[in-house]
Amino acid sequence: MLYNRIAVLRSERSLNRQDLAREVGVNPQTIGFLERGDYTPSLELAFKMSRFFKLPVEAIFSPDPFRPLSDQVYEMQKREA
Amino acid sequence: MALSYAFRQARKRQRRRSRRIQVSVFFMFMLLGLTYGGRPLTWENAGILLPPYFWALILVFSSWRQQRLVPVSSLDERAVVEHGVEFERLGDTEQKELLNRYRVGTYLLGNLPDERDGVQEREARHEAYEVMRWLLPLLAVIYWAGWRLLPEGRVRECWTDGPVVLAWVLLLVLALPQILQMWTEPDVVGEPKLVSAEREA
Repeated sequence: MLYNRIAVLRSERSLNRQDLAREVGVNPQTIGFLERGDYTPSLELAFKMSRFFKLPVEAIFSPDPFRPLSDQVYEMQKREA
Repeated sequence: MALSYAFRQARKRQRRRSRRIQVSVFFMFMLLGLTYGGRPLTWENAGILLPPYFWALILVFSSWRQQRLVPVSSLDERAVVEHGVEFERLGDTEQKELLNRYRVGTYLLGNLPDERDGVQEREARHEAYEVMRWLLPLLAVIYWAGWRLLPEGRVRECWTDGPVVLAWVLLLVLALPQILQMWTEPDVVGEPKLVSAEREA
């Protein structure tokens, strides 16, 4: 099982599945399957996503569940302060 | 909502329930074909003997992925195919973008196979092979037991008719990967709705 943040990243950028699917060259349904964790992407697709979101692959996909982004941002802000 | 009958039917055929009904009909026809397949092929019997083979052949040689194509003739239908909701419920950007691309007429819309389809197909072939490893010997044992144990009569004649059994086993072997995919492919879930702050307030 590979966890991912595709839904969050997509939502942040106000993208629908159709747009993201067009950018990375898959069907919109495949994006849905990825978001629900029903499908593990190929290395090629993972890198396409990484390039599209301009983030490292490990920021989008992880073998362990992700911590909520809000927690991480809040911690960072606390550390900076 | 202006959704045509053809569009609604095509969307219905894409659902898992509809695909599972098709698979069940295949097995029903297989049973029918095995039961009546031993009868001599005459004009009277042709109506019972041939349709199961035709159905099975259609299932074996037509890709179920073609069912993903839907005839789209209105803005609402295009919006449902692309975004999962009717045109009026789309945001301004999506509406404008859709209107730019919209042309009057009926078009077949759907998705070309992508990497997930390829992976699924390979997995289904592998699973079919695993199933056949125990299914084929089991069928051979059932066939042999039937031939040895069933009393003389019509049932034995039909169920142990070599060419008929062989034809159906062959069709089953060919259809099994597709049957597995049709049975296991989940329904397409639409775009999840984000509840905006404005709507909450």
